[in-house]
Amino acid sequence: MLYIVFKKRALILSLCILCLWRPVFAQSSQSPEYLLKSVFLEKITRFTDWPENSEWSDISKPFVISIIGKNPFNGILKHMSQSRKIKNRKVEIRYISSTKEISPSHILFISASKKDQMPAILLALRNKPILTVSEVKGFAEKGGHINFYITKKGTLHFEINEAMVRASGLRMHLLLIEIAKIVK
Amino acid sequence: MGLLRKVSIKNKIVMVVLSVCALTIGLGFSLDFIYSINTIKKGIVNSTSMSAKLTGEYCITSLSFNYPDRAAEILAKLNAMPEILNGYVYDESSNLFASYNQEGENPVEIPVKKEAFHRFEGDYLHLWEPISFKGKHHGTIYLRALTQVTEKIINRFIIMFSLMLGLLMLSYIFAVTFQKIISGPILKLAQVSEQISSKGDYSFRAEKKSEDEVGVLYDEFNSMLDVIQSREEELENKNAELERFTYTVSHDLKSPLITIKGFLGLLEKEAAGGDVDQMKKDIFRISEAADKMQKLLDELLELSRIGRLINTPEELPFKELVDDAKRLVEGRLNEKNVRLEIEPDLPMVFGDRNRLCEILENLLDNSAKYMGEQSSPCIKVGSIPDGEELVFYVQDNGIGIDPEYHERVFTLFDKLDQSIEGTGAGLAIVKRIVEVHEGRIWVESDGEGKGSTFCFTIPDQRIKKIKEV
Repeated sequence: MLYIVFKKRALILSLCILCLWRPVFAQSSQSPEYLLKSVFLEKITRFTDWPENSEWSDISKPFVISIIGKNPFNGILKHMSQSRKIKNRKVEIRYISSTKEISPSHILFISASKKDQMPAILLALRNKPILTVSEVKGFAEKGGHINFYITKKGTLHFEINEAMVRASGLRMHLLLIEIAKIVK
Repeated sequence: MGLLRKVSIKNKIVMVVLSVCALTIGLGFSLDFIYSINTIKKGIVNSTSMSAKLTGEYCITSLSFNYPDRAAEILAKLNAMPEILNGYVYDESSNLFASYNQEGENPVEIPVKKEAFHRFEGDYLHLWEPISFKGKHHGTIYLRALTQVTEKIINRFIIMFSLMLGLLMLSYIFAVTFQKIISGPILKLAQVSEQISSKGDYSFRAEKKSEDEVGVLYDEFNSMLDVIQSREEELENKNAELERFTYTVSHDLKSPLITIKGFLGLLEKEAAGGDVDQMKKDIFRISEAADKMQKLLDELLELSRIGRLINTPEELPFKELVDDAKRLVEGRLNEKNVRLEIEPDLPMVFGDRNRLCEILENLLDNSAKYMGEQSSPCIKVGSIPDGEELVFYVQDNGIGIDPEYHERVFTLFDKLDQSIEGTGAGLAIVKRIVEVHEGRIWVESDGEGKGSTFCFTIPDQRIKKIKEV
């Protein structure tokens, strides 16, 4: 019962957000939650800086978002990548099954299905400038960078493990950290 | 301007200085005041704008991720600034996103703007600032502040005005003190002229202290006084001369007239008695008297003419003039058995022939007349250089002239020895002629029995004219 209520509120909220964000999607079968999460992902990149190296300065190379595990976005991210640029480059979505295939990603979304392998994955990505994002409780505590969660009121928020973000070489704007819940 | 006519110079100067000061100070201060109004407003706007920008920036992610509650929390921090009454944040579509209204303040309806803008409404300041991050426009923040702009402007005005009054007062004091520099000499001159005219004493002079136009005024004033003084003297002299003239004429003309009348009376009796011989004698006496009157009148006419008419000057040998004069007075010279010695190498002289001859004629005649009892009366005529000038002299060994009378001899009708014949006009005439030729005449004599030397100069007018050019 409560769950439906939460969902409903999230729906209302996301519809409001959609009015702000250009309505790219005509299809109503798309999940509003993951629509919102993809929007958030894009916004987060605006307030995050990847380290300046020779790789980064080549803007012909695409901005890569990799998804490991079962993909909950169901093509939403793919759609977004076709219509938007992130950090002034083309966006590429990859679906990987192991960390060996990680390079050259900028963001790694770890699906809930990979919940048990999380520590191993995070270990493999330790101190690498790849933003790790998930939506599983405790992800940030375990060392993940960003973790989405939905409040009791049904609004989408995220937690940030600031220390881990800094350790990875990524720089996050104060204002982004400011609106998120900080996890140690 | 008629109002200012009676105002003293002192006050005029002070008024001029004050009005200049008032104008410049007033203008300067007005401009400054206008400028400072701008500055005051700008200051207020800048500080409010700063608050707006900072607050707005903090709301960026709230706007981006759509957390209006968070934005409201941030806006609530405006509570720390009591002058900020309202604070609203609008999203990029200009819809109200979050608001803050200070306790007791009502929400206000205001137009939304996307660019930076501000407007004063009395003491209230409305300010809009855009919220953007990395070039992307996220929204707008609006603040409404209660400033003290009016109070600040009035305070500034009061300060400036008081300062201005103070400066004007200072200017007044300085003006009153320093106007003396200009007015002092002028007032002194006015005072001196008043004194002179009230006392009639033209010997006063004003002491010049500066070299400016006032100094020139002083100089001119003093020279005018000089002229007045010398004219007064001249006038006195002329009046004295006129008195003597009038007296002599009436006196000297009277005696021959009395003679004539007397003899006419006698004639009447003789005509009745038929005494023709006596009548002839008496008629002669009458004629003589008439001649005397005529001579006097002729000499007077001569004197009056000398000042006005003069013939064309020419270069003449002095010797020639002496010879001509000698001929004219030959009678008297022979009568008195006077020997005339003429020095050799006499120079040329430039002047009126007739008049110059007249000088010598009169001097010779005079010297001859005043020989007194002399065994060998002698007159010497010559010239002697005296510095740059050439002095002519007529020297005699006659009765001489006491130094006391050296000036008086040249006075018209002032005969020293009334017994000796003559009108007493001779030397006066001579003096006039010499003066007309721009020369000088004087007499040197040691006194009674020691003879006299009449000296005079006839400067060459041509040389003088060349020197002048």
